[in-house]
Amino acid sequence: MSTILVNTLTGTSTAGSIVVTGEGNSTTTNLQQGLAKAWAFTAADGASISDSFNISSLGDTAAGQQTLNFNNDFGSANYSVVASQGTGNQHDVVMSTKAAGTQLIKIYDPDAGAFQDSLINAVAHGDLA
Amino acid sequence: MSTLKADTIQSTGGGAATLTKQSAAKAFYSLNGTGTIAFRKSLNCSSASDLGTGDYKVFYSNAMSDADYSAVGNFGTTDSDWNNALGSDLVMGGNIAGSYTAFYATTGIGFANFGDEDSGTAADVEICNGVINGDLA
Repeated sequence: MSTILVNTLTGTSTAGSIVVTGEGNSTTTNLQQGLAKAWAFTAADGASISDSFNISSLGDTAAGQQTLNFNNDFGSANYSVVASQGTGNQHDVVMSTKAAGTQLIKIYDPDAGAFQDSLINAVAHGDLA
Repeated sequence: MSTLKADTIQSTGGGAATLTKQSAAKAFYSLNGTGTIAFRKSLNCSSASDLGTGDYKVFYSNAMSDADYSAVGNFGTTDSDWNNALGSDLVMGGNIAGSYTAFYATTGIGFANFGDEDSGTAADVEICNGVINGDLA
């Protein structure tokens, strides 16, 4: 076994593209493409971030409507965000309007018939600018 | 500071190199599930099938090693009246076609919107997002 100690990995042909071999040794995948570009764990009051990566701030747009503001933006609005809520039973989590630098997430309580603040776990994949 | 420049990284045996305490997603997608369905952005996804209203399959370019992988997803919409996303019942690995069949395979994943808030029946979804983590074949 050999170990390389290094602080930065950069592609030779394309700086932002490194291919790694998959676990089964028969396929490859792009390292940069597979890395999460942002994630967030927000507080149940919808007003603060408990921990995050590449998130500059949380916009408390309205009750149950939180906007993730990315520190480093994506290259376009074509990226993938999945999220779950951790507060209410049968609450709906919906990805709403997005831009290269922002993603609005809405949490809806069908019993109350209204949006409701909640703990949110979210992770974003795609190409950074 | 040190920088390693390389186009491909392998273990010394030619297999997968270990990245300390790190793991990359092996596939992700953002699919427009209305009209003629199409990927907005994806990794390791070769194609998507429209099986019917609110019913989809995404196929991987490189297969997973087995079906014991993690698939998480969400629906979304930019529609102000929330039709087809609010209250949508997302099932990862399940399809409506074939009388409610499972498709959670090394080659791809099925998913469906089994019911939306307005109609309580299956409906196409504007934004279908998913992330796959696990081992490649």
